[in-house]
Amino acid sequence: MGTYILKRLLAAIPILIGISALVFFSLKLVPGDPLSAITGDAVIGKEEADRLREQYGLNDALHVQYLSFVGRAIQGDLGRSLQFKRPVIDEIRAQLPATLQLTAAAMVVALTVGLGLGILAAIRPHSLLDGLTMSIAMAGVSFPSFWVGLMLLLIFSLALGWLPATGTEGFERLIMPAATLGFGAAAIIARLTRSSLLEVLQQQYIVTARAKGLSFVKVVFRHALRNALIPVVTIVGLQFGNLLAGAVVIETVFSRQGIGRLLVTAILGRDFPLVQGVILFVASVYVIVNLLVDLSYALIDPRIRYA
Amino acid sequence: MSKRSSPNLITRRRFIKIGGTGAVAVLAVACAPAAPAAPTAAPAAPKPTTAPAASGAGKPGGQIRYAMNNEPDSLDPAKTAQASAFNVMMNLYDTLIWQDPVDLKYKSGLAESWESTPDGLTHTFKLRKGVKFHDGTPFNAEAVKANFDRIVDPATKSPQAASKLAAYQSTTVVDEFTAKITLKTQFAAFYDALSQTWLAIASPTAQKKFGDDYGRNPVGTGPMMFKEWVAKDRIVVVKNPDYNWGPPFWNHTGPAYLDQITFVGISENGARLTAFESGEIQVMETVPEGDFDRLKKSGKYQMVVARTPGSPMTIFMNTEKAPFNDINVRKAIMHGLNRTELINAAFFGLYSPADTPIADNTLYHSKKAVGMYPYDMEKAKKYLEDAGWKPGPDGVRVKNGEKLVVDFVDLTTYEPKVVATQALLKPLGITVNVKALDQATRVAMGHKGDGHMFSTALLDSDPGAIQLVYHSRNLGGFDWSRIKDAELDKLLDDQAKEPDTTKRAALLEQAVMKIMENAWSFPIYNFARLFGVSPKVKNFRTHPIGSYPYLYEVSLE
Repeated sequence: MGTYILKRLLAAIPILIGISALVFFSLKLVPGDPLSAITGDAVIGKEEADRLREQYGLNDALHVQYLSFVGRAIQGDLGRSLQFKRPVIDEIRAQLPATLQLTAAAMVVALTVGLGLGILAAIRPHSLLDGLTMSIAMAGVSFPSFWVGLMLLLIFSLALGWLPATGTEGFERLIMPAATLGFGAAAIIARLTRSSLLEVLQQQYIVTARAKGLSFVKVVFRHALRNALIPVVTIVGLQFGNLLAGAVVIETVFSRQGIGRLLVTAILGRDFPLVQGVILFVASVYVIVNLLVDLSYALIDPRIRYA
Repeated sequence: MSKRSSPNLITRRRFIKIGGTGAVAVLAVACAPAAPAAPTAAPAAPKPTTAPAASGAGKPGGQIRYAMNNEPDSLDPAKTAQASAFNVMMNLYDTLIWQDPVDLKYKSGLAESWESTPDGLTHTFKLRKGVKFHDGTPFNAEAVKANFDRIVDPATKSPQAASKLAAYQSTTVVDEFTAKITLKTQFAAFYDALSQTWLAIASPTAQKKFGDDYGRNPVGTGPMMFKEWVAKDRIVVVKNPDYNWGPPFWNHTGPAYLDQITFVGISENGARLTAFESGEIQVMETVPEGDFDRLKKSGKYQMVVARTPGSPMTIFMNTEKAPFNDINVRKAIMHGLNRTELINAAFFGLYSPADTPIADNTLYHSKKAVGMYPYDMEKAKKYLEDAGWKPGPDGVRVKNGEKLVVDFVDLTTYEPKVVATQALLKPLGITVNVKALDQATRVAMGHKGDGHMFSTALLDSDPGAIQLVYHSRNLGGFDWSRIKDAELDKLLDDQAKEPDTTKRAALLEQAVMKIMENAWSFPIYNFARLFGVSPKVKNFRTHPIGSYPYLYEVSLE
């Protein structure tokens, strides 16, 4: 197991180097002047602009810029944000807790709602209940999250005044963003749980368990669900990545702190060091989550072993 | 309200009723004389648009949340060029001198008095005694020297302050409270520059202590003190209880009324509006035009159109590319694009039309160029015919087999303006392609001349700033019309050094006439910032430069 983990982590290094190169050079292909990160919306003279480009090293040849970035990144230095004039790592550190909080809360929503709806639908297939829950799931898949977010804002902040519309502090500011973000993932989990559970419920050991006189609830939760969860866990792992990506939109809609909003600001401002840093960070998280998902199979299904 | 208020100034009648004691003071912006030394009467009279401070004490206490459309990058005046940073910094810092938004003269700030040598190269400032930075550091001539020397130091990489101090040579500490500033060259807008927060005085102790992170730990002498900055969430400033050195034109002396101001950056318009309408925030900046009208009609808020000085929102026509390399085509646009229709269609008629390169609330605005190109469809068509552009079979004009098609490159948020232009130029037989892009891309395209039409406004209290968009030294920068005219360059250079206000006004007028005669750009409307303000907030009025509110004067009902 230890060797397996080590191998996987080593394999991540070329992936991360590849990602950094891809991001770096594709950013250079994107039109737009990185000087915008420094000057924002100000109209400044060309002499000043030239001076600033020189001072911030924006005139250096591409490969020089990239190599100096890699050189520093290896030593754990992601450089300084052009826009915010402080270390990229500090920017990420400042935004990380809020994104983790949002992602975790959305995951709770996704799992509770998703598994709940999926199980409900599976135990009474083709019933009214099934139709209803799967319609909700369909809505969750098809409604774009920014729209759901705006609708929630409209209802719970503007019309009812129950929840604050913006900000990060406190549980009440987490409810709507987490619900919005979790809803989409819940829908996918619900649909998958339903089909996976339906399949398992057809298995002979389920019939045996029922024949032995175990209650339906016990059979579903103790025997069927555990076996039905393997594909669900995979998708939950992938959903975690989607939630991180979704946070980009949700954090912007609700003006929450977070990595996603940081990334949007960085891209719009052509703050290259910051974009690089955030993407490398998110890529590392993906790599680690994928590893954790693979490892979790062994926990759920003792027949799976890693060497 | 002042009788001098511009017609586009918006104040709600009901608010005046609520305001009771007449504690209503609103908006719009005054302009700023850039005259050096003793303030003299401006030769050309602009229309100041900020009302005088309302009399009567406000109630101390309370706090507000203030929403901007983005988070500042840094609160180090030497290291930022962003409007949102200026907004916050105005509360944290003082400048050596302040510009009175009503009489447009310079008033004492951290400097009590000042004098200049006749050559305009040496300026001696007598500084106020007993002023302390928020960290306890005493304010003195050393602090002035440390700040200005730091701004021009290349290691500071200053984006805005350094350009305001481009003429700076050195500061001599004459005694503890006397600073003598020497300039390399004459600089007519020096006093204007000193009155802008980019050149505010920060605590040298704090700058040393925090080094590169000073911008996250700002320490000034201003009415509010920095408390915390939670990145991407909020910036909190609290009352400075010792403050007693504000400019004489503020509505009270002593500490600010508000105990605390929380600045939040909310870029999403919908979220910012929801937060404002649900009462979470008391002041909202950059209200979308469509919602401004709706909120105003609701009668629940003070809706404020705060005009900025400088250049109006202007369309720049790329003179290097066909068809705008032909003056006749440019003149066709000048006559054929209906400004009022454009403002009505794209901006709900909120802004006032502008037809010269220097806005009418800005110093040295000249009436000479006003009305030079009245809207006249027939004239516009004739210019196009003269240029050889004949109507084609599909209504689009054609010349030598080429269709009359132009690309209008602009910011996504300005798309309504571009679309309205497209519709309004169609009857002339001109096809406008809409290219709505993000800021970094459209600025880069403008700098490269990649497109035919670009637009921007210029916010500055000194009209000399128009050189940024018309001088050939800025070709490859914001000279988006790509003008390379030696005569215009000379006029712009000469006015920048001319200490005599009458002569300077004449030079600027000549420059404006030259720009207009050549039809290099199409001014559209007087730029303004749109605020939504809770009725509980009293005495909301704005500063001349860029319309930043004086939150020091604000109190809660």
